[in-house]
Formats: sequence, structure tokens, C-alpha cells
Amino acid sequence: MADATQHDHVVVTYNGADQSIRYEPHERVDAVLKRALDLFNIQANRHLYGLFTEANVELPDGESMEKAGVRPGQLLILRQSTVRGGSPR
Amino acid sequence: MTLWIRPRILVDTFDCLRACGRGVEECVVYWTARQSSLVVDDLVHPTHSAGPAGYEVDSRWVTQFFLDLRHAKRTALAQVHTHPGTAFHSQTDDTYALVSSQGFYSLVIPDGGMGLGSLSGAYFTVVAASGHWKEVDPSTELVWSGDD
Repeated sequence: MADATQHDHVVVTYNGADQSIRYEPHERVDAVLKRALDLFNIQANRHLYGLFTEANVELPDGESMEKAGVRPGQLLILRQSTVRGGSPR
Repeated sequence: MTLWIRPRILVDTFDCLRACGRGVEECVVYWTARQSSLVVDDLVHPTHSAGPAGYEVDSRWVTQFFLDLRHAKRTALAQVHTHPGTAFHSQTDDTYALVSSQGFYSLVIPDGGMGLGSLSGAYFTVVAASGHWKEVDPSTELVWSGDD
């Protein structure tokens, strides 16, 4: 019997490498983000990462993929929300 | 794991860190390579803000950098940044690095990069399988590669 659940894919890129990730339109962004972090084997500071569009808009974690405006086949960028360094005095 | 580096990359790195930071502000560059290669053959200087105790990379630049790496089939292998005094990896450095997956290196250069232009006093660390940073010895983990 065919699976009635609708699945789409996005391409997630991280540090030059791509992964195709399956999602459902009503699935929350943070669930897809977790799969991306797992696929890229990111263990530390996972809560600081986000999925960004090519226009540098971070997808809101609590929204569905559909409500966040994600389209099947879309390219998303996995990255830390903030990149910085420093030597506190 | 060993990181290989073209000799001119270290020279260019110090030139960039000194010109940008002027020994007054922190600065950062990224060392890049072809995908699946451990030979650093280029460096990229990001758009960033900085002060004497830290730097922050422009958000739009980070997104575009990852898109550029993808397009060019390249990857960032390491970040290199300055500290005004002693080189070490601060909690901020640990937490907010460009990449935090296994095998990504971070090199911290002391004295704002205004020293000898060598790795003397530098702090070198890499993300381990656990996701935590692990200090490594630059004299064994960083090897000069080929001619320039």
C-alpha cells in the first residue's frame, strides 16, 4: 500500500558540502534542523545553529516548513546564527 | 589528522591580520581547500567588526561564504584569529566558531599578529569527534606543503 504521507526534499549546504533532506510541509523547522545537524555530524552548540535562506533569512524554529515559506528543492544554509571570537579581559 | 599548508598562506595570513587589526583590534581569516583535501591553498578575510577583545563576522557574509564554498566545491578547514596578548581558546572562541564539526581547526595568534610572523606562542586546536575542542601541537599537526 502506498504511503499517503507527503514528502518533499530540501538541499542543505554546510561548509561547502550538501545533504538532501526529506521533510513534510507541516513538519516544524526545528525537526528538519535536527536532522541536518545529525547528517553533518554536528555535536556541539547545536542550539546555536539555524537554517537560513540564500537571502540570509533564518527560518523560525517553531514554524512549519510550509509556513516558513520553504519550497520543495529549495537550497538552505546550515550555519551558526552568530560567528564571533574573543579574548575577554 | 594533519593539516597541510602552502608556505605563502602563512605569510599572507600574517599580512592580513596585521593590516586589518594593526595590533589594536582582533582579526580573523579562514583557511580553505578543495573539498576532500587537507591542503590549505587559499585564505579568505571576512567582513567583520572588531575591537581589542573580540570580533564578529557579518551575518550576510557567513551565508554568502557557505554558498561560495559550495559553488566552488571548496571547504573551510580552519579559522585563524588574533588575540591581543597570550594565545588561547576562549569560551567565545569555543562556542561561536564558524564550523563546529569534527576536524575543523582553530589557530590563535598572540600579540595581535605583530610578533615574528611564526607560530611561536600560537595556540592550535581542533574539534574532536565528541564535538569538543582538543589542543594539538602545531609543529606536528601543521605541515608545509609543496612549492609556491
